[in-house]
Amino acid sequence: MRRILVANRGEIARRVFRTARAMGIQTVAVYSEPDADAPFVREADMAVALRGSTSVETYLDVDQILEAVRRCGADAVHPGYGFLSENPAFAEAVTAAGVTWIGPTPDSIRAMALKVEAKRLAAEAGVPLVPGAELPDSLGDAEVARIAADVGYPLMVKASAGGGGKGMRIVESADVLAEALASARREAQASFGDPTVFLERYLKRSRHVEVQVFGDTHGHVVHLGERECSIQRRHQKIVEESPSPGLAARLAQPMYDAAVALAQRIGYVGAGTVEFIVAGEGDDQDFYFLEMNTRLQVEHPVTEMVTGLDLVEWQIRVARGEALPRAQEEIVPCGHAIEVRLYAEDPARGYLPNTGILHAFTVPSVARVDSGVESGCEVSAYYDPMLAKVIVQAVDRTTAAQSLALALRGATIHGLITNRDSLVAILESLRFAIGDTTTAFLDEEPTTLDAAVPGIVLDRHCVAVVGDAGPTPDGVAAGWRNVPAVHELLGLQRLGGDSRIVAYQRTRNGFAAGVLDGGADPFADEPRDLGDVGVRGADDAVDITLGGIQARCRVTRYGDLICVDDPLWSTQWREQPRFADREADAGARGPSTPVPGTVTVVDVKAGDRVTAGQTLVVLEAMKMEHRITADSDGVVIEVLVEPGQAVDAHAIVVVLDIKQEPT
Amino acid sequence: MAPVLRSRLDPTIRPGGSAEPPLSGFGSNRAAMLESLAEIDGLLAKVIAGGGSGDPEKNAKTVARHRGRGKLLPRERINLLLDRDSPFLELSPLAGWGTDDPLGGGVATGIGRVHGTECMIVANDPTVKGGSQGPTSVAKGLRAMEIARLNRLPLVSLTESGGADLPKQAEIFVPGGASFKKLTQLSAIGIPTVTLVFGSSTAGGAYVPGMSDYVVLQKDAARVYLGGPPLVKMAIDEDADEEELGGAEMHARTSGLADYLALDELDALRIGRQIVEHLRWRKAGPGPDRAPVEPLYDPEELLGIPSADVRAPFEAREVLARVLDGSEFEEFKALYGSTLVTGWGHIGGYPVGVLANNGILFSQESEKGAQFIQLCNRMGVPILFAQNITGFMVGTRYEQGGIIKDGAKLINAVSNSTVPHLTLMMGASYGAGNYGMSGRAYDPRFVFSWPNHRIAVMGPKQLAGVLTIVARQKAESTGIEFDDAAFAPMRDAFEQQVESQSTALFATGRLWDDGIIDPRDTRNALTLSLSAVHSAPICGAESYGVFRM
Repeated sequence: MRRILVANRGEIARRVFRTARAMGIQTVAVYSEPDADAPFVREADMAVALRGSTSVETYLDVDQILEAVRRCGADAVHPGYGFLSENPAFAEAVTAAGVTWIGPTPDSIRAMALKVEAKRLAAEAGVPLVPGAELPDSLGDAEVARIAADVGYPLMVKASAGGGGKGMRIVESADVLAEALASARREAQASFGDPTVFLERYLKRSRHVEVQVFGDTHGHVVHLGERECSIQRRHQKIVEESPSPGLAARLAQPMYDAAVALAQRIGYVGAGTVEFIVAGEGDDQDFYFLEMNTRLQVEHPVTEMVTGLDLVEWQIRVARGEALPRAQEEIVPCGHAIEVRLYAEDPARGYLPNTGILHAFTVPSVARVDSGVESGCEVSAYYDPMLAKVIVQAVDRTTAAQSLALALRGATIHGLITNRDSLVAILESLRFAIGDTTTAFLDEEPTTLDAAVPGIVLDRHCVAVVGDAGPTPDGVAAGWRNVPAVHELLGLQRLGGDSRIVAYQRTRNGFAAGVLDGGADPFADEPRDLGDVGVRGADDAVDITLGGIQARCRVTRYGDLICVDDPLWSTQWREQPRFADREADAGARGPSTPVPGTVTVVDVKAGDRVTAGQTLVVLEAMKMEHRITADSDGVVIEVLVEPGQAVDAHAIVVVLDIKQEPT
Repeated sequence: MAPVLRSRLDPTIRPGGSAEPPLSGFGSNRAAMLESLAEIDGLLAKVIAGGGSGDPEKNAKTVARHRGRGKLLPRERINLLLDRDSPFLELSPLAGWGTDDPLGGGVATGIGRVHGTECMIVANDPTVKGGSQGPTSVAKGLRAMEIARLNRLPLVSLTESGGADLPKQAEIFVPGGASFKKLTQLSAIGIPTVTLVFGSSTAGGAYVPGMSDYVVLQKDAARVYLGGPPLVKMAIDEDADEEELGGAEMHARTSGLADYLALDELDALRIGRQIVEHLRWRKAGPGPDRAPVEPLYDPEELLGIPSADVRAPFEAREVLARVLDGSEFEEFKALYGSTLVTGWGHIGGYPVGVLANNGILFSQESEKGAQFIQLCNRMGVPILFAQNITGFMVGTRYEQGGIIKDGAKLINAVSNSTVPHLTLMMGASYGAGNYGMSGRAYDPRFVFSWPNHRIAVMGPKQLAGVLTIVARQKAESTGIEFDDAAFAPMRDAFEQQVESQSTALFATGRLWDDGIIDPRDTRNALTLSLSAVHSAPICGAESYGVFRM
């Protein structure tokens, strides 16, 4: 094996390149049009452009990828995760082309991809299962309802062909089943090209624990311990750790054994993960087979950190026909590792994805960072909004959690709203500290989603913004007055937060500042005085003393975007124009798109009467569905979009006349 | 790099390194200075608060009524017109002190940056007598236009004025006429004039927009007419509607007086900024020739260096060590004419020649100064005159030594010098010393005073003494016995009068300077002044009057 093509993008492509390079193997990237400038393309020894932008047009297009393989002369293909990684037809096509497939056999993929078949095989291997049922497309509504009732509510709708939370819905009761099914099928079709779904009992307050297994072509199968990935948003993992803090000691070995048994049952070759649901606590705890993922998992780094092994290296060795580098008893986990997934999304606003330029991105070196982006990258709406995985290993779980939280706090992330504060809040929460991490974690700790930055930090950062202004080129202090008369005013809109007005003035002895709410009249309302404010320029930062606490703040400007970082907190603001644009008032009125994306469904036409909350248009962005609803009752005057149309953020989709009386 | 001035306040060079400053009177000077500054701050606070009367409650009501109409105070308007965090050098804030005009004259003037362009800004304070123009307002406005003309600064007027202060019409009608002439003369020499009207701008005031290059009128607020409805009724018996007579919309759509129609105050200021931006104004001076460096010594110490009693001398180099960049000073003719310190340094990165008094002017000093001024003109370097001067030396020996013709050389050089002069009144300014050191009458671009500054034809004591001697001589010549005791109260009263008419406040009240500054602000005030003078080309003199040899 001399040249690997990675049929993937972003961080996993870079991850594979890193190991390949270390093993003396050349690397080839394939890339879509929006990814042309991405770091993974630059880092590869060669790159092949794919025509198109969306996943379906590019990274999911088997023909284009195979064409790329032929063109660049790669003798091996690594599929990464997602995209074609669990597509048996692709694996077969690669193999048929005489190219090494770095992954399990197409049969293994197929067996585990069909979840019903997977369960049958698991049962045969003696692995316990959760109650569930198949749901062929042909069934009538009554039959579906009966099957659902048998499974029992609450239940989950899952895509038969999928994983990663795509096409997955929780259904609490029978009356919302139909809509959930339709929506899940649509998403499954979009993500996996197959709308088939199945039902499964939804176990509340359960944990998601998975076992990493590895098999080789010589009949060996080992496990590399477990990972707990219970903390999930919309069924997508965001915090993963190893070992599990909540798995009863008595269950660990049986779980490993079950995973290995299943892998052996199907003659598994390569990296795989057997996922389990762990329900109940202590003596009542039990585990059930969930599914097997026939690929390298996103969260594989936690296993690498505790075992000290390179799983991509193992994949390559196994694909070359070598035996597993270590026997079971030579694999000894050490310490505790935690990974978080840093997303460009706003947890407080329904995980609204955020696109744009990532002006700066650095993470303190205590953490391992697996990232597809770097400073200056544009994050587009075409793909998953994950920016990076940040992983820390330490001697124990507490140290790992605290070090990871501190690394996240110290990270510089400029230009995009991220879930950083939310991740920090999770890692620092009491519930996390005591290991009470179930899949209901975020529902039970909702404050971690809207992780509030303390008021004094917001005040400090506002002072830093105004205190950071440098002198004139001839050395006169910013805003200097020989007759200090009135406050200077600065309107700031916090990204993902409230707006405020800072009233400030340099005085002979320092700095006076106060703040007003964004809606206040700065010429009439009295600002809230911030008391003694210390401002002292320091290198490329400014030391702010507020409430007796001094902190060094770095203020970075990108046009009207202002980013403030102190060692523990970061905030981002947009400078509000001092003068309103008086001509921008007119124009169409109606619901607009929250993110850029592609219109999948248009549910209304001109003249329709709609009620508040009614779905007007469905948008797919970053593989997620966003339904755009009417914010009040009214009549549709004009529909401005059609299915398949790509739209920008904040585009009006439907013009509504909310005053018009129904006819 | 020029040599660095060493201060006697510097513990590292003082024998024994004692903590007590060896400058005599540092502590008491500082205390006296802080007391003066507190008085000045109190006066400034009244000006800033607006209202213009002596009654704070009445003022507060006036201001509240103004705000109630959604209007801003003049310094708020200025802040919004300026770039965020632009410095602003306000001029003559205490003009009118000691007169029966409102303090500050109901108008704020100064220099600040709009889209990076330094502009002279003149803003009426409509809370002070409705923004009407008294003698102080007129004088301040004329001075602002003079500074704009000499330094080539675009002029932005923020207008809201009821016109002439009618009870004082006799004092302002004739001199006030020059305002409009000077406004159009600015335009004639290519200096842009922009006027934003937020309210009344009537009668003569209507010519402020009328004479400006650019006019912005605020909708439903600006009223611009030669005669208001009452006058129209009186003159031609017409019942005129205010809006039709002089409303912003009328002028924007019908008369054409308005170039831009603003929706509200903020919109007017936004348009004003936009106009200045499109001027693409470029400074014509050479600009700074190096990066600014803070002085080695703390300007805070300037509070204790100048003597509280102007009769007590103080070391001018101690001041320069706290004003010049890096405290660097290349002294010229250090060994000759020791009571006039001359040399080169930088302020805010701008090169500057310095003449600073260290005592009475003798012949040597006069000639040294005259030579130095010519050198600065050769190089095209602005000159800072730091005045602490009780006059030219008198006495038989000095008259015979030619003090008149030597002093004349200095005055000749000062008068005909064409590089910008900045004059800093850091102590006494008595007699012809004021002239030789570029006093107000010698057209320095800017004059700033410290609170301890005293200015008169001579010191009050000397003046009273001279008066006594003259009176005695007169009495004796007419054969009347001079009664010293009887004359004493008269002499004291005269001394008192001269004293009170020679203070910094008295001087600033009459616009003999461009404002009293806190000594700690000296560097910033001079830097901004130097920046302003660099808006115009800097050219040295090519000829002088005949130097009498």
